[in-house]
Amino acid sequence: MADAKAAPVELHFDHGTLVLSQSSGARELDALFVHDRRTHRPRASAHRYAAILQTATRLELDLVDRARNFEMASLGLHGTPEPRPHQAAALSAWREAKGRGVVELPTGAGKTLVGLHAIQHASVSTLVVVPTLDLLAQWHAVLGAALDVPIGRIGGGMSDRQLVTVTTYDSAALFTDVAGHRAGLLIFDECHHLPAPGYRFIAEGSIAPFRLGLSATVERQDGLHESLEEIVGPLVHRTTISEMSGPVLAPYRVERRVVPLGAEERATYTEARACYLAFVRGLGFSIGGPRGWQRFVMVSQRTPAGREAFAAYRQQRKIALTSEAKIHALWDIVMRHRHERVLVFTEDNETVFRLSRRFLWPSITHHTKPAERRALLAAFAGGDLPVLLTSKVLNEGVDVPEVNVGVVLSGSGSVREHVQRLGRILRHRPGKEAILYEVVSDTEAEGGIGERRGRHEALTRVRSEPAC
Amino acid sequence: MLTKDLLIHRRVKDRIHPHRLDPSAAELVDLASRLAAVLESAVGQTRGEIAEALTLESTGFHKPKVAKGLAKLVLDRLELEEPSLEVGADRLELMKLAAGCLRSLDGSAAPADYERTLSAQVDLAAARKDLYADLPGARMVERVRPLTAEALVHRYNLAQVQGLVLHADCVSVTVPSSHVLELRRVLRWLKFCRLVSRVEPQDEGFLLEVEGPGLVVGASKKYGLQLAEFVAVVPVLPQFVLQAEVRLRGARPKELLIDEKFGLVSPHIKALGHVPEELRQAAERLAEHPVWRMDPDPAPRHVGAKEMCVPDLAFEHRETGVRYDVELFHRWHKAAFTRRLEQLATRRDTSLLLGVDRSIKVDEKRLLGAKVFRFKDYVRFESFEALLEG
Repeated sequence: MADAKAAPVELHFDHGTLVLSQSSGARELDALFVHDRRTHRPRASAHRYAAILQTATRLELDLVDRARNFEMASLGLHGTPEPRPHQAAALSAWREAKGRGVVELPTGAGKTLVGLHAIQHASVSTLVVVPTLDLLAQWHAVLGAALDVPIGRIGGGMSDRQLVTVTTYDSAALFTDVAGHRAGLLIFDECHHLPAPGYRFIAEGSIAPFRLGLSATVERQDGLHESLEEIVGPLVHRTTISEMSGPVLAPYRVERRVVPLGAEERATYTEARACYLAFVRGLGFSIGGPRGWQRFVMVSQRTPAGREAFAAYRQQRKIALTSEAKIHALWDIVMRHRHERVLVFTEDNETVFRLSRRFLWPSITHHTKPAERRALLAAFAGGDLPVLLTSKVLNEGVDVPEVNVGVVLSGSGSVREHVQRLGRILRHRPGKEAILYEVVSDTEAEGGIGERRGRHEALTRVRSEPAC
Repeated sequence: MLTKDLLIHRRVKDRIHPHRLDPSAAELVDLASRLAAVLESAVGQTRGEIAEALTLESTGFHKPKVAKGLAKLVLDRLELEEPSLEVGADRLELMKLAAGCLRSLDGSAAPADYERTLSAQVDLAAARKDLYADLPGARMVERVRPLTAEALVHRYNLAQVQGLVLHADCVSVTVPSSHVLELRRVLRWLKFCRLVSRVEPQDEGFLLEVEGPGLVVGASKKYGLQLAEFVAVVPVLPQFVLQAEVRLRGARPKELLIDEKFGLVSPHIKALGHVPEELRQAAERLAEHPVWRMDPDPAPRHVGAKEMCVPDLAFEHRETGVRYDVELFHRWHKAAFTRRLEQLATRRDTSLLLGVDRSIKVDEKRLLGAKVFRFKDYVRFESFEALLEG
């Protein structure tokens, strides 16, 4: 027993978890761990690091911290503007929450600046986690300009860790179990991605005591956003698009163009939809119920009639989403704004490539290589290209303040997706007024989607008009 | 591996049974042969063309999902040519030219007017055809990893099991003690998979429990992919029982239970004999060493009270037969090293040498007689020669 008392208890980082060298003997601290029967040591999730140290300090325990592998540093900002009132309020709320929390601000409201000031406040090794390579490049450039330290990059073929490093969710998910002890501050940009099963471990497997989540729309349809409080911190600040339209974001309007199908397309659409609905009605369960869609897909693959119904479903949907009439409406919009910047969103890549081949308009999809993306975005921002087509990859993060026209040619009924797309055109520029066109077929298939998208305060001022 | 939509299994009471193909079934061998044959002429064609050829070959097979699964595994054997770096730049120039045409038009112009303007400057049909020649479907096949019809069917059976293990948190494998040499290879593979294991000697063999390190604290990281990689080597064991609890979304957990009679074949038999380059070179250099002979593939050994470790290499004295095993701890093995010291504290073992990367701090007081040498990234024989002599 005398030996056990003499040996201090050590805390180690092990593959995204924390391990005590032996039981601390203090019930309150040991309660934060579980007994690992494989190694006969107490083990805890790494994100409990701060709570473990705070408990040990409060109990005045002799705990040797061998887990921490991040540096303290003086990180001063230069050349960055002072936070605006909404940013200052967000920062203040985050600091009051002991440097753990989520800030919800609309796109274009300056979330990156909030992140920069958080880095200055924490002044520790920092990892900024972003969802796309475009955002990785953007954060890297902004951090490089604002901080006097080399900025690392992990992802997109780069593997360079520095005191402040930017990475993607995909990359971070791969290295967290070996490097989750190397950052004292984690910034999750577009943090609504984090609760996804494949990404959650980035927060759980890291010891960072400081955590900041940034998002324009924290809420997820699957409800998983509720776990953000445990793994990042509580929602500490929220400002809506409507509150910021004018002074911070560009004023905007949303126009819905309802497009009738041509006679031939309507006949095909009607026939396909009837085939699909006849099969669905005979299923004996509601397709809109829990797992209804998955059950439909499963059942439809078992019989020739089911496979025919599934093919019919796809055909009627394709017509509704990308009818010839819609493409004509898009052409009219592009011609009206051909001297401006028009960003066109579609539901799938197939439509993007179809339009791109037809009109020789540029596109960005997940297939586009980073160098080409940069070149395309630069040419678009610079005015060499008036139109840019994309499906979902630019829903988040593209920073082209010159864009003032958005066209949603097709998409899901997700409110988040629609708000994010709106956000792409709202970055403030003197004299700018943004327009988001929503082109919808006059079909049952798309009517519901349009209605669901409109359920957000930012989208309630929609002006509907039929297209000619 | 197979995507979720291509997995086939039966659920009977508490069990889940992956679909298994009989490698000797004539119609299956015929289909697999035709699919595998597509690979023979694949080089020089596009991925899209190969995908279409595979669809043609598999259409009409009475089990469409099986045919699609086999075709997917064949498609995975293609290695595609990297597109030219100029493709993106050429495309951008073409788009800029098109933008100029668009802006030159009157606001009331129709798409047909635009096409006419464009056609005056470029061969529109050719431009459209070649516009995305660098997309995966349009990329040329540079190389293929050929496989036989029989190997394709075995791959399929393994992929069905792996597809279920993806949804498991833990896999346990029971192995008779007569297969300790094969078990050594399986344990070595674990190191590549970043999994932790508990090996317990049992009355007539070993129980190997394999899982992700964070599982015990409920960390939500799915270790399914690593477990599925691990499962691919289990069939090197001549006898085994593999057990896993499979949690498919929206369904109650089911038990997966298979043994060697299922007929799985490991695709990694050659890889398991892999010896790291620096150790291979060291073995070559030491081939003529007058005193010590190196074994780059030693057997597992007991450590501590009841655990086992897999040494990375061993040395045997040419005259006396005295043998030392060497276990290496790289920079990412800090916790494992600490654990090993604790085990050695309960049962000293002077014939086990521990090589520790210099990035891991070593507290001399905690060594308690363990034989430790240091290295930086790569191990050199000279680093521990003195320990052997001592």
